[in-house]
Amino acid sequence: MERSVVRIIILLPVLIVQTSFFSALFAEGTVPIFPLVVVVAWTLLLGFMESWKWTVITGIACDAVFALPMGTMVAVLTVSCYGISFFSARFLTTHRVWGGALLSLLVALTTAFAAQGAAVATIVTATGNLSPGELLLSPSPLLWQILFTVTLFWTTYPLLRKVEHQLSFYKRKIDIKRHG
Amino acid sequence: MPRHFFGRKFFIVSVVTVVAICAIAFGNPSFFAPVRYGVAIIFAPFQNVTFLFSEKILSGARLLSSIGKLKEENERLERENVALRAEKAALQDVKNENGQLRDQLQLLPREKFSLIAAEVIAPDPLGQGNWMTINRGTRSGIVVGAPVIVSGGILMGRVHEVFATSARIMLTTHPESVVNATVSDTGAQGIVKGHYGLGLTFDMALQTDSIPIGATVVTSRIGDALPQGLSLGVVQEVHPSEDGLFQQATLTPSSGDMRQRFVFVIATGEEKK
Repeated sequence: MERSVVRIIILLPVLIVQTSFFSALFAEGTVPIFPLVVVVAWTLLLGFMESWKWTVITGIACDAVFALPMGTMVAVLTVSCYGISFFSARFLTTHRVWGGALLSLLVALTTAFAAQGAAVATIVTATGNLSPGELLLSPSPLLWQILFTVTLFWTTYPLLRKVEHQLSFYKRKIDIKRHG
Repeated sequence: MPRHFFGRKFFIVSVVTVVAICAIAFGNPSFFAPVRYGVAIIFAPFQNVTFLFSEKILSGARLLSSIGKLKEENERLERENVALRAEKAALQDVKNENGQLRDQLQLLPREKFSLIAAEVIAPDPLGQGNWMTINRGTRSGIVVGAPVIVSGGILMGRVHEVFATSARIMLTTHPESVVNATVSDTGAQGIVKGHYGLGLTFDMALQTDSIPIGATVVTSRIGDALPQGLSLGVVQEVHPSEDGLFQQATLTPSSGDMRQRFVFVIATGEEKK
């Protein structure tokens, strides 16, 4: 219960910051995707089986707030988190250097996927078709977006790790009180 | 293929993705309207504050980057000031001429509209230039479909969703946006479509019509609730459509990069008496 409340408290400012702070601060097409960063961090910290529900909730909230076709961010974030979970479990992500580099690469790939996915869903639902010219986003802003999102990930991830650590510590304390 | 790939995780991802894609493809947008309405009411005050904060940061950054250029800028401005004084006299004549031309073209001057000033509180969340949120809603008399302009009568977009204290604007660059338009110089008729935040396309113009490069494209009155004469963009490139039946033109939006702080919503879309 406490964990859910804390995660909702985390999610709300993330959405507000994304809609009115980052989108105003960064140039068009280069805006980092904060909700993606948060769900990726949750996936790494909690594992996919515990975090997927929060990924879906975050996706629904994003679709509601960003005016995207409902389901877009749900699909994009869920697939991204599965990819993160799949690859991080199979490679040495705990290694200080190589693990960090691999995680950065995974976040970069998921950012490109999320930006592209949102663009494709918007175009398809708006026009009903998709010409090959519209399929790919311009590479230059996308690279900046990836760079900003990876930087944001490495700023946010330690904070979220600390929060989750405190939450699990608090839960254990309550369990001990209840059951002796 | 490893066993885990088709395990429980993969099953969850597949189910969620299929449901989400079905929602995208077949979902009714109005089904989620109450959710969006509630979220917009809760978020609007916070968005206002964070947007102002980001503006402060941006202006601070601009100030820091401009310190070195201030002296040079000052000299340039002094020279410009002298030139502008001379130009001011000349512009008085142009103003009179402009008034006469406006009458001839039956363009609607801004004074004829009931304008509601609004502040942008959230640009497009993913930075794709398709949407913006303003701090005026139903309480200020804003209705769905109302045109949104910036100073000079440049059309930014139309109100797509209205909430109590905020409204979401679909910009003209959104791929769903379609506006009846005309080339102001030659009168060529067509429609202006958005191009996913990248720009505008003037389409469905007859092959016989003339579309000069650099001509301004404005809204036309044909079959549309928009007032006539709102500027949309400037013709950059003209080419035939894919089927060869019509002409298409790529436009540079008149509103630049669509980043605006203040916009005006035309309250009724009708002229004042």
